Amino acid sequence: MFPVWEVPNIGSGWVIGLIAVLHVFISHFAIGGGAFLAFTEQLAYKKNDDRIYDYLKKHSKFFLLLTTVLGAMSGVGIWWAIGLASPNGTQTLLQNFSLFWAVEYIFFALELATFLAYYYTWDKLDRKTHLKLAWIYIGISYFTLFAINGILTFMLNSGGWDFTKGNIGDAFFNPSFWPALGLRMFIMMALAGIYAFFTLSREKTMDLDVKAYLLKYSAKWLLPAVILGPLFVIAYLFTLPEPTQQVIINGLSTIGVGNFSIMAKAIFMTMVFAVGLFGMVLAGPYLNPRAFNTSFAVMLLAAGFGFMFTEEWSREMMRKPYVVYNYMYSNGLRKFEVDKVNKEGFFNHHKFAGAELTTLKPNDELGKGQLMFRYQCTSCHTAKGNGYRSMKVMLATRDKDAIKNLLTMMKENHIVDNKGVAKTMYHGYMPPVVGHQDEIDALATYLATLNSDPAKTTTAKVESSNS
Amino acid sequence: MDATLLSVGNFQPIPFPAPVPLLQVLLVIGFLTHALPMNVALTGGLVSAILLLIGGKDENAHATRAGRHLAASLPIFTTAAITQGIVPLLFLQVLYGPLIYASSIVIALPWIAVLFLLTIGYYGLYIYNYGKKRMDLMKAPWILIASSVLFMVVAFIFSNNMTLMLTPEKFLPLYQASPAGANLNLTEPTLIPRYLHFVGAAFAVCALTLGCFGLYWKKKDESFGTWLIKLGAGGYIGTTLVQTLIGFWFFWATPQGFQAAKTTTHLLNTSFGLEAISLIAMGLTVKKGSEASFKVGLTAGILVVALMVVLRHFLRLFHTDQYMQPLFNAQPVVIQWPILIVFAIFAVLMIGYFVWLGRTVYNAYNKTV
Repeated sequence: MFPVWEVPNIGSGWVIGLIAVLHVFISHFAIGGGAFLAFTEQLAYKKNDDRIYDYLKKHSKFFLLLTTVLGAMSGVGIWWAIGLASPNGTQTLLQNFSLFWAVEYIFFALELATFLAYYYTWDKLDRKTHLKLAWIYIGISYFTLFAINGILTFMLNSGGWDFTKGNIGDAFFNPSFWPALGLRMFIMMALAGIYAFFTLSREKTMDLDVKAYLLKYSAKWLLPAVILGPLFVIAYLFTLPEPTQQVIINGLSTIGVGNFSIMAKAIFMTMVFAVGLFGMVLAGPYLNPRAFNTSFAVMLLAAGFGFMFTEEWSREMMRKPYVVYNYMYSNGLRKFEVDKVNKEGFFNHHKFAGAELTTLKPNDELGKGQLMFRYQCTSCHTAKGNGYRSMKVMLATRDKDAIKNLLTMMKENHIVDNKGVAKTMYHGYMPPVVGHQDEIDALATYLATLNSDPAKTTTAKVESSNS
Repeated sequence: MDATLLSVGNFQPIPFPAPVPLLQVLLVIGFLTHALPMNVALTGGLVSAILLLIGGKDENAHATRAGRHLAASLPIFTTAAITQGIVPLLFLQVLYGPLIYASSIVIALPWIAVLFLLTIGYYGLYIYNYGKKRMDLMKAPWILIASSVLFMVVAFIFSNNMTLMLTPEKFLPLYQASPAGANLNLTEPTLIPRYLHFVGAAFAVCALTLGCFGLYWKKKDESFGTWLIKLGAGGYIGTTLVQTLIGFWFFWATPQGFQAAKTTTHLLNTSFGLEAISLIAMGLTVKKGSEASFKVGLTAGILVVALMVVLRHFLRLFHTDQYMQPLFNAQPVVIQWPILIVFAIFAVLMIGYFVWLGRTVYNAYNKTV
């Protein structure tokens, strides 16, 4: 019902994706890194070692500049981007969880205030009170994760929750809530260690023994992720909806024959980054701390970023074709309204698309088809050129009839029989195409103009102008 | 149905978690708690740079010291402004989603640019604070000016969106001109006076903040503290008089029905009364440097800001009532009591915690400085 934000070449989804990965990479550090500060400050007091204490002051400055500016701004950025790229999905989540977000805001405000107080009182507060601020920070920042985790996991596994009558607690504490919370906690601890490698590598005047000790100490922050991470991944995957599990299994089982699905690729890449990262940490800062340098630290950060990128990408893939699982498709269409829209017609259902239609000349088949594409397809596809999931590339040389057949099949994409067998091969990957037949024919007319074969493109344009 | 009504979205078929009036109150309170630090963050870079340039190379001059203290506080005000911005934006999207999502998409490119402008400006403040020792005393303030200018561009983009959402008849033509969102709401007659009025108010709030710094410093350094209080009071008088004149321009640009509404008249009369009190109190402060009169002026000044926030909300209600009221009337509400209670409890605890945290930091600094 809202206009669609057209982003040439990359599509609006990637705008969310790029901002989100950056945010996740920093925000996880904001929580795990807080724990690192508290435990390491306690260590400095226990060992009565001012060199560790002095390092922490510098590390906390890095923490301040990264998490309170870029971390906070990229968090706001996700909100900005989802509102532009997926307004219906954002509105669904906000209407449902607005009070949870309000609670998260409280913890976010407390988190930032506590960290600023912590940072600005080095050498000014007594040790006990300063450390107390660090412990408080851990608890508060963990609650920000707690709050957002319920919403993120709900998007992937709404657990058949009833949006109009369900208990909101059941939606929040959905089946994936606890394993995802645990998993993220381990990732946060690992990232705390990885970021510490970087700041330690920048210590040029630090005593080498202390530096080696702190590098080994930081490497140990990855251990929970190494030991318990895989168990929580498995637990998490088992809580996902069965069709999603099936798509994962199908994708992974075809690796042997080289028939990778995109989701399988994403999961495989995540595993490669995870194993590679742990191997690098073992070979580098843990076993050879004295040879460790900034270049190696940057490589570890890059590997950590790669891991987060592919992990978030996998998560996005698992949610396909929904933005809120089993409730709203990625293009904003609500699942339970598919039949209604087919009956009423797409332009009678989608208000803004209907408004745009009023500006077209009567019988402008091509314009109508372009609007169908804009409102039903651009959340996942670009039209021309070699952009993200470009329809020009995907349709290749299909002519209008072939496209019509494809769209007719796509119209039944949501249908599953009594035995759970989908009617089309695109089920579980794409939303159904919806609307009256003449609207879908118009979409076919438009798509045919994207055809890579110039001769067929001309034919389609002529047909369009004749109709 | 005409194109304007088709341009207004709907709510999702999901009940609201709290009654509309409560969400409206949270929106207004949230905006007030955002507006105060945001005003300082917005104009503080410019004000501190002017003070630093006036102080010149004399590091002990009152102007230099004031500029440095204000500049040092700006990252904290910016953090507070961004954090407190979550509340009004959250409830704005919940309550006015049918308008704000569309208007944001219509100006998507400048709207998404807000993130980059704000991030660069924010880092500029830290670059000044951590790099100033290595920089020329007369060159460093330009970083603060640059940050302030970036924040003012952000404010201008916000003004564009906040005015555009009130006029859905513009959504379709603007969107069709650029579906990628390379638009602004420049044809809106209230845009410029509204923007200038709010920026003027932001300078007044920044002046009040300098006066508050004076209250803090007076206990440690009487001369500097009194100078700051007088500066804050004088700055408040000057900026308030200018922005009141711009306010008339803004008022005359609003629809006549809004101007004639009883609520508008009541709110304006009350705020004029409070503004007069604040100006008289600040006048006395400039003359005598009295702490007490500054506090009276400060309280009255903040109340004026609060009333202006309410009036701004009333303007939104006036514009959007025809579209939103039918949607509000049809919108089911299922109160999420447990989470509402949790929110209320944590909100109270947050205030208590901030008091404790503030005291802890205050004591830490006053023990060692």
